[in-house]
Amino acid sequence: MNTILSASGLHKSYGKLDVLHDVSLDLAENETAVLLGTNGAGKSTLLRLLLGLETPGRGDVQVFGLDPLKKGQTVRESIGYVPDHPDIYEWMTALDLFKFLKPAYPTWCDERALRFAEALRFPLKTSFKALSRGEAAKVMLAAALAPSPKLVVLDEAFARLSPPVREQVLEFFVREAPLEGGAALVATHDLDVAARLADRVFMLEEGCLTEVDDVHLADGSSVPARLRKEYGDEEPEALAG
Amino acid sequence: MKPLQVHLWREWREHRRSLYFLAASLTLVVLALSRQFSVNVVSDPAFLGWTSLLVLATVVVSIGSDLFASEKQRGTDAFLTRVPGGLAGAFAAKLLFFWLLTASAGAFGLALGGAAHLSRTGNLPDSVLDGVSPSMILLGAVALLWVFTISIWVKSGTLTVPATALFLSAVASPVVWILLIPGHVISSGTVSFFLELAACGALAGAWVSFVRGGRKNHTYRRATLQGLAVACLCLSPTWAWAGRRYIVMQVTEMKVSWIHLGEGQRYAFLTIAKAPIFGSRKTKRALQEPTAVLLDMESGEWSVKGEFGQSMWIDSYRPPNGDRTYSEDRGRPFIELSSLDSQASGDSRERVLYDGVTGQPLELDAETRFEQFAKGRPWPPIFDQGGEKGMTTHAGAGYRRNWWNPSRHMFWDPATDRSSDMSEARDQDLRPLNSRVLVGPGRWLAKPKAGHWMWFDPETNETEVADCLEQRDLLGPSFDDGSLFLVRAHTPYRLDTVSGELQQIAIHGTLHEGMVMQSFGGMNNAPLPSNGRSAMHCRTVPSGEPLRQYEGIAVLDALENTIHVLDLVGYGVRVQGDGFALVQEELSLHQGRVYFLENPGRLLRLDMETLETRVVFDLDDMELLEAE
Repeated sequence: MNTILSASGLHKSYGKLDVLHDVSLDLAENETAVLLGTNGAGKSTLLRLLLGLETPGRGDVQVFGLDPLKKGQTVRESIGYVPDHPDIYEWMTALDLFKFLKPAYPTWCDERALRFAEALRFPLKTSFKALSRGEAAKVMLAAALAPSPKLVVLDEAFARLSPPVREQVLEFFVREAPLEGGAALVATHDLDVAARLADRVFMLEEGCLTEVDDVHLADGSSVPARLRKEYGDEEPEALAG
Repeated sequence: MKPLQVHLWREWREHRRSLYFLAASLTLVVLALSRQFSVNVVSDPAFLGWTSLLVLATVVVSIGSDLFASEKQRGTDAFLTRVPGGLAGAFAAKLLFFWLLTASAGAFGLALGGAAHLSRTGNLPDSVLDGVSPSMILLGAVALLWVFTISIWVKSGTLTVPATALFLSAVASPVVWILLIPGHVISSGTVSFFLELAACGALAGAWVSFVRGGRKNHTYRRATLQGLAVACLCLSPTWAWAGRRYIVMQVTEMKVSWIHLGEGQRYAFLTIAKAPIFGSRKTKRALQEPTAVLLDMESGEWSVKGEFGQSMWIDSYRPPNGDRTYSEDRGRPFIELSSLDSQASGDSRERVLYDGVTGQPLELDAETRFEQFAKGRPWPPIFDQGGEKGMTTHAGAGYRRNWWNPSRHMFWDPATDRSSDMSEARDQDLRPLNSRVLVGPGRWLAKPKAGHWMWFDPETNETEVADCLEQRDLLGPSFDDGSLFLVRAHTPYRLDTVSGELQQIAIHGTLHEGMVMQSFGGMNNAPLPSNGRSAMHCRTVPSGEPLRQYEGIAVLDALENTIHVLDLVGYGVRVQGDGFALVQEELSLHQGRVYFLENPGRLLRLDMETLETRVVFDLDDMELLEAE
C-alpha cells in the first residue's frame, strides 16, 4: 500500500511549552485513522503540522511524498480539511463558499457538492452567520469532500453537535469518505466516533503519540481493548477532560 | 472563475454595503457642503480637488486601511492560509481592489465636485485636476501603497493611517532633512527613482509579511519584522543617497557663496564661506566663517575686508521691488561685519558700505554705519525686502484672506517705466505668478501657479489664455523681433508668438539630448538680440543617464539658431550654487563679456565673440593664503 502521509520525529513547542514530542505517524491509502486525545492535547497542532499550516521545531512531514511546507499549494489541493470551528466569512453562504473554493481545487465537482448539500439537508443560500453549528459543520464537511480529496482531515468536526445531527454527519462521512486510494485522519476526543470510523487509533497524551491498537474497528462494534482498560466504563465524554 | 476573480468578488461582497453607504452619505455631505460655500468657492478649480481628496480619504480610512487587519481580527486569515493559493490570490485581489477602490473614490469625488459645480453654476467645470502634476499623483499613489502595506503590519485598521503617517515621516526624514537645506536641488529623475523604490519597498514588504509570512507560518511579529526589513532594504538606496549628500556637504570646502558685481563690472564683492550646514555647535561655527573679499576684475587683485574667516559677508540691499534692482536705484553693495558673539546675541552689528563702481567705502553717517539695535528690534527700512502682506478680498458671499506678494504680481515695462498690478486684472485670482515674460510693447505672458500661460495687457488689465503655449513650457526672454525662446520637453525652440510657429534650436557642443534652461545673462526683461549672441546658464539632460544632469554655460546664437554648450559639470550631486551660475544676471552682460562662477571657487569671464574663457579669480589662491 502506498503511504499517503508520513511524519517522523515531530517536535513542536510554543515558547517553553512543549506541545508535541517526537511524534511519528504513517497513514497508508484506504486507511482511516482516528487521533484521540483530550482538549489541549495537541491534536489540532499535529493536524496543522501535517497540513503544512504550522512549522515543526524538528522533524519531517511528507504528504503524498511532498513536503507540505515547501509544496503547500500542491499538497493542500488534494486535502479536504474541516477545522474544529468554521472560520469562514460570516456573510458567505454555502453556495458562496463553493464558488470561492472551486478555482482553488482542480478536482472540484459542483454536482458532488450539491449532492452533498441535498444529502446533508443544509440550506445553500443562508449565510454562515445565520446557520446553526450543525448546519455549519455540514457545509464545511461537504466543501471538504466536494473535490474528492485523497486525504480527508477532520479536526473535531463532530464535536458539540446534537446527537441526531452527529449521527447524520457520521453516517454521511462513513458513506462518502472512504475514497479509492485515499485516506482519512480524524481528530476527536469522542470514543464513539473513534469506534465508528477508525481503522487505526492513535492516542496523543502529553505530547507523545502512541498507536493504541491495530484492531480494525470499522464495524463500529467496539473500541480498542486498551482504551477500555484505560478508561474503564466511563462515558466517552470523560475524555473531554 | 479564476482564483483572482473569486478573491476580487469576495472583496466586493465583503465591502459593497459599506461602499453603498459611503457613496450615499458622501454625496449628501458634498452637496450639502457646496450649498454652504459661495459660488466662487464651488467654481474654483481647487474645489474639485478637495472633494476628490475628501472622498478618497474617507474611503481609505474606512475601508482601505482595514483590508488586512479585519482578516486578522475575524480569524479569516486562517481560512485564506489553508485554501490552496489563498494567500497569493488574496494578496493580489486586495491590492487590485485597493487600487480600484482608491481610483474610483478619486473619480467619484471629482464627479461629486462636478455635480456641485453644475448645481451651483449651471455649467460643468472647465478643467479637471488643473495644476495637479504627474509627480504629485505618483507621490499620492506611493503614499496609498504604503497605507496598503502598513494595514498588514498593524493589528487594528484604525491604526493604519496614523501608523502610515508616522512610518512615512520616519523613512522620508533623511531625504527631507537633506532637502530642507537651503539651496538644495534634486532632479525630477532622482525623485521619480526614489518614489519607484518606495513603491517597490511597499509591495515587497507587504508580500513578505502577508504571503511569505503566511506560507512559512511565521508569527505576526516575525512576519511584520521581515516585511519591514525588506521594505527598508528597498528604501536603503534613498537613505544612502541622503547620507552621501550629507557627507558631501559636511566635507565641502570653502566656496564662493555670493558675488555682487559692481556696476561697470570693475569690482566684484565676494563672500567666501564654507557651506552653512547643520552639525554640532562647534562644527557649525567652524564651517560658517564667511569672509568678505573685494576683487578688482581687471587686474585680478583681491583684498580681504576685515580678518580672514571672521564672519564677514557681503550682501546688497535693494529697494522692496526686486524687479527694479538693475536700474539706477539698484542697491549698492555693503559689507556687514559682525562677530560671532554678536551673531549669537544679536546685540550689535557693524555695517560698512562700499561703492560698487569705485570699490571705495562710502561715507555714511554714524547712525547708519554703526547702527546698534537690540534683538527683536525692526530692521531699518533700508534693509526691508518687502515681502508678503495680508490682503482681504471679497469672494462671493464670504471673505477669504490671501497672502499677497506684490512683487509676484507686478509688471514693469522697461520701455515706458510703467508698472501695473495683475492682481487687479479682471477674472484673475490671486495665485502667485510663477513667471512672466515681456514679449513686446504691452504684451506680457504670465503663468500663475497651477495655471496656463496667459497673455496679459497691463493697459486694459485683460487676460487671455495663450493657446500657442503648453502649460509646462519654460519661457526664456523674448527676442527683439518679438519671437520667444522656450524649452518644451527638454528641447529649445524659438516661437513666433503671432503665428504660433515653432522653430527648433539645435544644441551644439554636447552629446546630450535635451536641456533645461536656467537663466540668461542680460538685463532683466530686456529682449535678447535677434541677430547676436546671448549667454545662458543651462542644465542639459544626457541620454541614457536618467539620474544625471549637467549644467554649464551656453551661448545662444540667434542668427545661426543654435546653442553652443561651452562647459559642463555634473549636476545633482552638489548643492545648488556649487555648479555653474551666471554672475548677477542683470549685470553680467557688459561689453560683450559675461562672468560666470564655477564653484567651488573659480570666477570666469567669457568673451561672447571668441567664446574664450579666462579665469579671473580662483579660490585656491585664497586657500594658500589661509594656509600661510
